[in-house]
Amino acid sequence: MKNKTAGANMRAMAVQTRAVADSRRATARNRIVIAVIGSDRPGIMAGVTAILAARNANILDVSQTIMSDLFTMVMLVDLQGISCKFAALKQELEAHGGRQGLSIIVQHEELFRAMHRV
Amino acid sequence: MALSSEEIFETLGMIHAQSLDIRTVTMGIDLHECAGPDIRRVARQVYDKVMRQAERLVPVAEEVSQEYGIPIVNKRVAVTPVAWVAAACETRDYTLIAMEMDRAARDLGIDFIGGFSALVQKDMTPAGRALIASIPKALAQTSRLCASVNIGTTKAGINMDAVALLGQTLKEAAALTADSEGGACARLVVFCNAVEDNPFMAGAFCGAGEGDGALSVGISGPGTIRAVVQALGRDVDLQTLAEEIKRVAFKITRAGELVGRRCAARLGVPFNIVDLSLAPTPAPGDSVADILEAMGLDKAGSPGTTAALALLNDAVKRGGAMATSHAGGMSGAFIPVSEDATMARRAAEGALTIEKLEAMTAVCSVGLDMIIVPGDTSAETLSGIIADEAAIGMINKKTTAVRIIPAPGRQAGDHVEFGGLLGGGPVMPVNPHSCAVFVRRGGRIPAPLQGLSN
Repeated sequence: MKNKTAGANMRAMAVQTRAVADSRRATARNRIVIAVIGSDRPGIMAGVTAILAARNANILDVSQTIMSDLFTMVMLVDLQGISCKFAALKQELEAHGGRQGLSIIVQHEELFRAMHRV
Repeated sequence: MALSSEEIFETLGMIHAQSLDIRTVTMGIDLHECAGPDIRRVARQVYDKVMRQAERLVPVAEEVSQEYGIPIVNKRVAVTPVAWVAAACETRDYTLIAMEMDRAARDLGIDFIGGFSALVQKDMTPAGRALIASIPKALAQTSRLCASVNIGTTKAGINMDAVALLGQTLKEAAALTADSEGGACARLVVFCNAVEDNPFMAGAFCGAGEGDGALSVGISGPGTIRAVVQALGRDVDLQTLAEEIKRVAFKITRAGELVGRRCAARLGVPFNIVDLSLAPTPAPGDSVADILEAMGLDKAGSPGTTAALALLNDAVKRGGAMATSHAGGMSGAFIPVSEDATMARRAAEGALTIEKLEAMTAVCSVGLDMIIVPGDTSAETLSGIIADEAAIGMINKKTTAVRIIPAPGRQAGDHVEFGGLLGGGPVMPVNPHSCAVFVRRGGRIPAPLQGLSN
């Protein structure tokens, strides 16, 4: 009896895990990673987030550090519901980087996931 | 689990600092339906089918490259061996088909089109013979066309009549393109145990068991592996080295598999295979020889080179095989001399010889590749080199190949430049002793006992 309950629980967990994995695969295609690198000064993050907000892109995660005066930021952004094409957003961010003397790299999250997760 | 900044910057470093890229997306296209007696009609149908099937290859590859932020260096098409498609033609000069293939490649904006090929490992059909005879002119009149001939297999042995013929073919092709250092020969590969789903040029063709059209990917990434080996320093043992190479090969292959699958899905064709080959380019740092030297050799070509390459090749396969559900093609480290800047330098210094390269091909993919030899090298000697390489492939049940350029008017020690991905390198000295009597015997080297595997 005990074993049966444990078995049922394990099965339910497996189903749930699969569902999470499926939804992650589905959403990964809509998510991008934005990496920003440049010499530190006020307003770098504000500049990037303003562009994202204007295009209705949703920031899911941000990680930012300063390494020997070098500003580095990585953002995970959801593109579901953005008001322009991915290519246009990428171009806009890269152009912003060019103007501000920052390296801004924009690419799908899926590549990172493929390379770093089994 | 969320990705860490370290993981993200590791990937970005691989792409932006260590030249990680996808070497090629190659679409295989079946051309059997184009066969017929009138070569003009066949050539037109070949052009139409290639244009139709690969119409969106370049834009889709560029779009995927943009979105995933990883360069795709080459876009290519590989077709059914033309000797099969042209077999019913009333004429035996197949140059017209070659020219239409080349025109399709130009119009599509792809880098190469392969499949001007024949499989003659046991004997030659009239069409196989006609195709080989058409190769020099076909290559001389085109710029993106690639030709290949399979002259041996472990099951069939080596067709020495074809080997003798190809020695002459190479001389003719070089003579017709003397103004570009015999450059036509850089687009001609002679195989033993050719594979039917190879995405790499110049030897790609779409084999008999392939479908109507499918997309394969060839990975690259020597720079990434060199960086890992270098970072480990000089003191770690070889198991550790192999383990770390395996890990990075996994990541490189996953990137290739993802890009290939996305391209195939958008093109509406099946995804075929990932070729787990470490393909160098002449760009600084994108070199297989650099990896060998980072492993602890003063110069690639020194004693220990074959062992180091064997370790590297196997570690890449281990990591790669786990990362993809369909490994295929050549799947091994490439050692093309002119396409690998450090390899070319070591050859110029005399550290790396043709004989050492031949030994290296026993443990990696794919053969004596992009080797420039003196223009006065005889057809028989070229055939002897081809036969030696084919013997290694036949006995070891592996693919081997020869892509050798007898550069007209050039002598050992001269430097020859082809440009682009083909790079440049020194003219390497060839053993001066003759094998003419052996080559002229003709006939077939019988299939070895290794072929009796059933």
